[in-house]
Amino acid sequence: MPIQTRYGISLDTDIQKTWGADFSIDFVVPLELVSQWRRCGLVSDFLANYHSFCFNDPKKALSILSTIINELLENAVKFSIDKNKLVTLSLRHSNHTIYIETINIAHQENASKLNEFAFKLDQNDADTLFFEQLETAATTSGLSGLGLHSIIKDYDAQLGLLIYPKIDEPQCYEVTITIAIDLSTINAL
Amino acid sequence: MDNDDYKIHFDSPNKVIISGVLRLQSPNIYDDLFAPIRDTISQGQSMTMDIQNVSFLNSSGITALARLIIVARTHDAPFFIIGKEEIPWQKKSIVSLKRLWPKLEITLT
Repeated sequence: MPIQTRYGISLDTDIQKTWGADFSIDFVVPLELVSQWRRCGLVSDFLANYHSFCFNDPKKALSILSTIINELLENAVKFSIDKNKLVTLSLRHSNHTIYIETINIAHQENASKLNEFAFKLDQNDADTLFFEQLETAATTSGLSGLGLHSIIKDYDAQLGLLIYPKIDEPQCYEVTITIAIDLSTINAL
Repeated sequence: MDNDDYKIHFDSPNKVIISGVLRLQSPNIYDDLFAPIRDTISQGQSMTMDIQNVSFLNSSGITALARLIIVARTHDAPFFIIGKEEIPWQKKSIVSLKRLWPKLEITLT
C-alpha cells in the first residue's frame, strides 16, 4: 500500500496565507558532479545571511540558520530520485518563528524511512533518537542519517512531514519537510 | 591537505589543526580525509584535533568524527577535541560526542 503521511507542522495553513514565501528557490544539484555539491552550502549561506539581519546577533543567527538550511537541503538533494529534478527550498519568517521547507521527489525506501522516523519521534525523545542514530552511523558504513535528528535535538525544532505518491508515477513520492524554529531558541544559544 | 573551503594541517603527528568550512557529501569522503588521524589512533597513540576555526561541519562530518571516537575508544587512545564555544554547531554537537566515549576530552575555549 502506498505511503501517505501528514505529520506535525505544515506551511499550507494560516501561516502561509498570512506571511507568504519570504524566499523560495528551485534548483538542481547533479550529484554526479562533486563540484556542484558546494551549491548546497552557497545557497544555505545566502539564505541564512539574508535572514540574519532580523536577529540581535546576526553572526550567530547566520551560523545557526545556515547549518539548519544546509542539512535540509543536503537531504533533499541526496534523496532526490532523479538527480536532475528540481529541489525546492522555501524560508518563511513570522513574528516569532522561522519556517524552512524543502520539497523533493524520493524513492519509496526514503519515504518509508522518513515515515518511520516520524513514528519514532512520537514515541521517543529527540536525544535518545539522536544517540541511537549516531552510534549506528559511527559503527556502520554509508550515509549518516543524522541531519534531521541533529536539527531537532540541537535547535529544539518542530518537524512537519508531508509524503504522498505521485499520481503519474506511484512508485515515486513527493516529500515535503518543514522545520519550525522559535527565534527565541536561536537568540538564546 | 588544503582546499578552497578548508585546511587540514598536522602540527605534529599527534595534533591536527582544521579550519574552514567542511560540508562534504558523505561520511565516507571524510573518512578518506581523516585517514591519517585514524591511522595514529589505531596505534593507540594520542590525538588532539583543534577545530576552533571550523565554522561549519555538516552531519556527515559529525558522523566521521564519531567514527574516529569509536576507533579511539576501541584502542583506548587518548583523544582531545579543542573547539570554540561561540560557534553554535560546536557548542551543540561536539559536546554530544562525549556520550560515545566518556574518556573523550573536549575543551571549548
